[in-house]
Amino acid sequence: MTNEQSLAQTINRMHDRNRRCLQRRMLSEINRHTDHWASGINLRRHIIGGAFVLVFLFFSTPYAMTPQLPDKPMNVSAPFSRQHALLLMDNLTQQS
Amino acid sequence: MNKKQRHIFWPVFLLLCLLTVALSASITYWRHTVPLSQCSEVYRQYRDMPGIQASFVKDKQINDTLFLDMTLFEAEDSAAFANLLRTIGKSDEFIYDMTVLREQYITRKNANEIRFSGSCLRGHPEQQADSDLSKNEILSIFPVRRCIVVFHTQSELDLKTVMDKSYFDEININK
Repeated sequence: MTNEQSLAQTINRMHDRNRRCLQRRMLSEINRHTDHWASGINLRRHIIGGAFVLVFLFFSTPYAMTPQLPDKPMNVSAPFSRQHALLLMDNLTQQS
Repeated sequence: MNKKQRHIFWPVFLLLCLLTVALSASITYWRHTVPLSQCSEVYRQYRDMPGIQASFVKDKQINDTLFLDMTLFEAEDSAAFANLLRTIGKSDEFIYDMTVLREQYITRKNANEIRFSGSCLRGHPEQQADSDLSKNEILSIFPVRRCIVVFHTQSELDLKTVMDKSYFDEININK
């Protein structure tokens, strides 16, 4: 093999290595973008899912609070004693 | 940057969830709460007393036709109850009687859960009832449960209806 041939071979090998390296970098960059939660379809999926969860929480909270909510509007000095006060009032009103 | 943003997502989402629940709860409670300005004068006056739980209910049903505003005071212990009774102008003798009645009920010497009812001037439980019955409201004391209930009657008819409903002996509490 002549010196020129050897040099050309070395240059080709270097180019190959550079190409492979570049390919790997580009692939990792593409993966990074598609994996990112705020990218393309991922972002849409998160927004729709999140909105469903928030709407569910908003409308389910009053049902979760039902034991604490009286049928009549009332004001209490002690927090979380509405139901207890209302039951006691019912009891005392029946007595009176 | 990627990892940082990934770490931000869940805390932000949980915060949004908490905000949603807080907003929903506050809207729900707001609809079921009477503004303080519309509460009775007695409730506003005594609600901050130590050891006392006060409640005010609007339009509580008494019978098929009568709906009244009611204020309930519930004492945590006998000292707080005695203090409340003293504040509304009851004598030491009366307070002692209440304690004795409660003890008798607990030891089963007296099976009746006695209620003491009387009229007082509207908004002033410590003052004597007016001769004009429409200016009065009913103050009921339940010594066994350490409770005081004020029926905010608006007219003479309301007052008589509530009083007539009683099947216990009415005792004059304006000692």
